[in-house]
Amino acid sequence: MELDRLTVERLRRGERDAQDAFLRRYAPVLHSFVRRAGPPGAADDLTQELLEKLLTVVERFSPDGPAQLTTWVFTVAHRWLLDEKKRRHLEVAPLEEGMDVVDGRESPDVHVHGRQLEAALESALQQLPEAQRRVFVLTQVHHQPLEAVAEVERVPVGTLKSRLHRARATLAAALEPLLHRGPPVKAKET
Amino acid sequence: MTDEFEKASRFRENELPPDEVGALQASGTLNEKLKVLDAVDAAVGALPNSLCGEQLEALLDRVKRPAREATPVKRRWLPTAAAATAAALIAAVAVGAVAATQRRAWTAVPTGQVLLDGEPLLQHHRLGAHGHWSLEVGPESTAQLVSPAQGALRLPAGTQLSFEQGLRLDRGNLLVSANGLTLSAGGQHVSVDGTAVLSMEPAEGVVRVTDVLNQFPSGAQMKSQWMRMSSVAVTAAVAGGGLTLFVLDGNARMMGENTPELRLAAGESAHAGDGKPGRWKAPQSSAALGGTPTRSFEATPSDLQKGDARLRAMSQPELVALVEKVLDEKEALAREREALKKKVADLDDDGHPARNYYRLQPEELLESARKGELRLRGPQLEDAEFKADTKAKEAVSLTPAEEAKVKEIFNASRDRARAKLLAIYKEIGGDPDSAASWSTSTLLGELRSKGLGTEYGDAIRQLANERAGLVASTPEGAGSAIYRAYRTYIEEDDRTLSELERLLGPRRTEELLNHENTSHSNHTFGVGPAKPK
Repeated sequence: MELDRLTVERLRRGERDAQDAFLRRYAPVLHSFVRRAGPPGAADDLTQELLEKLLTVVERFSPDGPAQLTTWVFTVAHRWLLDEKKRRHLEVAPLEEGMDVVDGRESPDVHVHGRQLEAALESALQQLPEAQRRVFVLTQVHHQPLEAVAEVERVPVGTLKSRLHRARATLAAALEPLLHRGPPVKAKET
Repeated sequence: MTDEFEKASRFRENELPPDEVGALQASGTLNEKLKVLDAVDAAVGALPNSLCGEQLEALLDRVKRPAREATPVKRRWLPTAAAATAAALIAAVAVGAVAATQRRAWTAVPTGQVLLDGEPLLQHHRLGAHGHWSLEVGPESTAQLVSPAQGALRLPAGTQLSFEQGLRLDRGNLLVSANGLTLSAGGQHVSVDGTAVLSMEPAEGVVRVTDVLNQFPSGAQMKSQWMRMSSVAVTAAVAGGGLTLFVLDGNARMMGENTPELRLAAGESAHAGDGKPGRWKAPQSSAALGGTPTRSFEATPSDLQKGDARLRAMSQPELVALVEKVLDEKEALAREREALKKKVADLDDDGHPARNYYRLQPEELLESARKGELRLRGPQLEDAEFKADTKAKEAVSLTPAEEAKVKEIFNASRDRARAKLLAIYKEIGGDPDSAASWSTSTLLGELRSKGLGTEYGDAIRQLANERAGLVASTPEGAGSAIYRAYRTYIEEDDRTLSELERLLGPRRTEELLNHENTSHSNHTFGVGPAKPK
């Protein structure tokens, strides 16, 4: 918390070094979050907008509050992503119905043959219904607390857990053939 | 399929209604489903960030910074520009320390003997903020740590890393690919934004040959194009004690408590305490790209001179002599490695099984004791039934009646072992009703988790020593709960073998158990040799 306080104080003073450090700390993870949980094909632009917003609102973060800076940043990013969807007139998929995002990527089955697990996993993630994908990425990839994510999603924690179980199960079913096949044989070193 | 995985996922989190638990366990596929879920979790934990290098820089350039007037800083707090820089770096280091200890921040993927606080590291082990952590890599293996938020680290053999207060390299080498990751080594704070190699030799004056980068696969596992350094440069790094930093890509910063910050760009290196960075020589030939270093080393004494003040004082003949010594040691190690590889290959060529599933030989037991490990071969630990296909049965002329009896022997052993484990669990205050629904391996893990301090490691070493005949056996019923739990399996291993030998005779028993078409179980519980006190 003391570190968060120091960071925010320096940002409030407008210190360029602090801004750079803040951006370098959060740009990679937020880009990953936006790319995996946001609309396809716009991760760079959206991350830029998100970072600019964060720099203007970070002074509102209270180091004395219950959340750490990272949790607070992801909460802002989460809300911003939902707002961004509304601005773009994209509807959030209802929980149980789901809505696959079609972005022209290959199906997991294609990845199984010749690509590594990571590629198959990324693809399988994109096949998840959007609401499941968003909470899965936040909690499992970026380790955000369930309570914080549930609050932004406006669902009970139990509902969030259900989404996570379903998402994990879908990924497991998609990746099972690849996992059974084992890791690809490495090329012999010379 | 997805529904089954979902139930397994809920089961794993104890969120499945009791009435569904029984049905799930009866399905016979629960363990397999749980393994897949664990593998998915590990893969998710290892997902990299999507932005780094030039792409990151380009994005950061585009971000508009809000204009605010900087508040003047009181001089008494930051009297000099150097102090301001130091504070910034210390803050950055603290950021790294916080991030490094974030829950499940790193996933460790060992490829061989890797210890964590003296215990063997499991595949895809997640490292979190749980007090004192130290990761030690054995002589024949490498490990990698992957954090979606922070980057990736590769640890070759002989490396020790600790997480006590952020990441700290205690010994050996580390290949870092990260965005702004900070870590410490040898009293220095290092921040890496790109790819860099840290080489840390704690003993001043030690000359050690390191072919660390020769062992790195070219990015297949790390999803990243690892650059390889010249062996010449690495040798220079380890020729003296302390920390040496090589930047392969991006940039890095190094700063000690009483030394100014040193900024390094790609292609530059610095030894702790150096006033300015030098350049390491990029590989010029295929040999330098990971092959055996050649005498071209003699042409680059400047690399060495920049590495260590002691080396600067050496004459050219002394430097050449040092290089000769280093190369001789490397060649000796290479010969030893080849001899070991040939030894393994010879065993396979002779048709002997790579692993013995029959009675462990005295030399195998002694080797296990030396390594601090316990090897169990029976299927009792897996809740699985012994299986042999037609070829195996024909090979040992196993009659249907004998096959039924063999299964009966293993099943009875499994039931006895489980009953003993449940009794031990109840004895230490565990809930037998809950335990009744667990698999045997889960139950054993639960017993292990209830152990205090070094009980588990002590138990494994004691049992390995007893089995090898190095120490007297512990009296029946004595010893810790963990000791007795694992001893149960040794006793069941021995008992089933004796019963099988009475049924089939020693030769047919060995032939059946070692046949390639017989189901095999192989459990090794390794804790490493006891540390000298």
